[in-house]
Amino acid sequence: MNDSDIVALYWSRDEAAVRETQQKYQGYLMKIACNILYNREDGQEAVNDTYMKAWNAMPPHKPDLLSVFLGRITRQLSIDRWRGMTREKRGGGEFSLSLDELSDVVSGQDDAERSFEMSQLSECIGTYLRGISAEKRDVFLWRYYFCDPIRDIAARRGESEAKIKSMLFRVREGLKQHLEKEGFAL
Amino acid sequence: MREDEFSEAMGGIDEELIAAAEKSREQQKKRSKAPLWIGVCSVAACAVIASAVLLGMGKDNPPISTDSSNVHRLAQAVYPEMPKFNVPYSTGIGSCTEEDEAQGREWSRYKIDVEKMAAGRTESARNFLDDSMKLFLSDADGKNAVFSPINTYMALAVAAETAEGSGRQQILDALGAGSIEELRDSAGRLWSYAYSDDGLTTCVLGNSLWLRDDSEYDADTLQRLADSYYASSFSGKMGSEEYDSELREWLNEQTGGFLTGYTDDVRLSPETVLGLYSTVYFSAQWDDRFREENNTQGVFHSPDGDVQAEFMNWTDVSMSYFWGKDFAAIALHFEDDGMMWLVLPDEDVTAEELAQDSELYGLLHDGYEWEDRSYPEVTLSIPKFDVSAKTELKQGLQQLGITDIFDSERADFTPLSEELDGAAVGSIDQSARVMIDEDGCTAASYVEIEYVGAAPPDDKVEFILDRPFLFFITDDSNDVYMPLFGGVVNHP
Repeated sequence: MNDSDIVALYWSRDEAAVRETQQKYQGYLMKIACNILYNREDGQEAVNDTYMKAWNAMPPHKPDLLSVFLGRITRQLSIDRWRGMTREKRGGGEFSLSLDELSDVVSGQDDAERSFEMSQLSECIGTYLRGISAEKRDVFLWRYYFCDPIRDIAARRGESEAKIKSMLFRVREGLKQHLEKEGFAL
Repeated sequence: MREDEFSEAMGGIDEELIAAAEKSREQQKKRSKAPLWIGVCSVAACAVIASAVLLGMGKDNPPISTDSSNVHRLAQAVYPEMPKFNVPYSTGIGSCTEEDEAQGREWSRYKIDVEKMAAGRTESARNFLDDSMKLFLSDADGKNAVFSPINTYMALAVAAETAEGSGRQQILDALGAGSIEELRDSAGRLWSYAYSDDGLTTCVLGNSLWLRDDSEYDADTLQRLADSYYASSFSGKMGSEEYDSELREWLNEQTGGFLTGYTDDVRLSPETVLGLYSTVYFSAQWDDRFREENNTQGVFHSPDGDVQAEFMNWTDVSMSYFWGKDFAAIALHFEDDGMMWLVLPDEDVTAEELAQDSELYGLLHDGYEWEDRSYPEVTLSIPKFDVSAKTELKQGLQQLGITDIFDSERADFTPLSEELDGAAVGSIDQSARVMIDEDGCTAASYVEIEYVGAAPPDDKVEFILDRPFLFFITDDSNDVYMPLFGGVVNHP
């Protein structure tokens, strides 16, 4: 079933919407959730919550890109769930590793008096990513949005892990400089 | 800000960007393991371009600095210091000290800065870069061809600084520059971008002027050439063995001794009033090497008949595969930056014909953003090759609209010296050599394959370069179009 038909099911409050979503996107959403949570059971719960949240969101939402819409919900729910975990349980996952790498970009400190909205930061990150090559942009998003392991990215592109690490490093450095120039004190 | 909050902000970026990354992520077939072959393959390539201008003798010229010999260095190009690539910090291999971290950050910032500085700078010169490749590669006529468009660009930019009037204007027009200041700025940025001496990749664009010791030259122009184009200037007795020897030494030094087959014959005749030499030396390692034990002996179908060649082979590789109406292509990456494109024409198209195809240059320009691209498992078989060629550029450059510098009635090189009034460029030649190889050994099967360039590939593709093909060495940034070399391999 195509995405617009699935969205139409949500709008007509047909429970088949969830079944069709599950059939089409279960694997995709589980991958996002498990990359963050590093645990299949936790990942499954985050994905189940995604279906519930999607059911409540449509209507009024009518996403053009259903996969991105659902993926975003799963990602946010997984991050929220990850935050609720104990420090011991958090360790080891790709999300934790990717956060270590992002320490190049941010201070890592709590910032109670933040001078900007998160949406402004998102927009600025997007502006930077639009300015770099599609190759670098994709690799960066695979790593820090989808939290794919570096070895998977390297294998997918037929390149060495060292090359991917080097590429990510340079994009992080470039992003940091861009954010600083735009006045984001992170 | 905490890292998880930053990651959360990533979730809010444009859905268009996420969707594009998601699409390419799904398109690329995942592999259960990374390729096992890693290591080195050296590539060295260099090119020399030289022009000689004939004119009468002038007065004695006092040297700015003197050496013990009769060859004087009038202006010296000083290459920038580049931070060294730091393996532990940039790749995560080995333990990383604070010193490694500082060096790694410095290297990274340098690379980012020069890329930003050069971004978009070759767009205006794209017509020249592409048209010159079309012209000189399509002229191979069954032989090997090697051409460096960026080398030619730099040599012409230096020539434009020494010229005035219509001769200069024609070069500016051909190179897509609105003024000499614009050309100077662009050439300087591109030089800096191309330059690499970080222990990982070596790429040096060299320029030099060889002047008569009995003529006067404008010191400001020479200094400007040194500052903006990293051009050294020498003065000596034209036609003397000593001067020729110094020139050969400079060429060999700039090209890493890689072109001695050509430089051994370099001479400046007594009548020459100016020799302009530009070089490119490039040396990099493959990101993943071939294993010599996988090499096989096979037949290469050259235009003159079948010849035996040693093929380097890869199997079980996941990589990007590109195609156009009349060709298929893959790109082999060098460590860190740059790539070599390997382009196989369809069976009914010759390499020379394909060299004239604008779609091919669109691929080099667009690179990763090329639409007709997939990610199959590729079995690659490529002959080891060492190709060189000497190309007479004069006629081709005239076709590209650069005519007046060759005409003594119209040429004007007085910005460099009043005594060059009436001088004209006699010839412009480019000698270039490109070699690829591997180190290691094993065996793999050699499989002949056929495919149609315009058709989407299956999950598995065999890319067998057993007939004439083209190669290009470019940077892998989408922001800077930097074709260093192009070539046709008719005889590996």
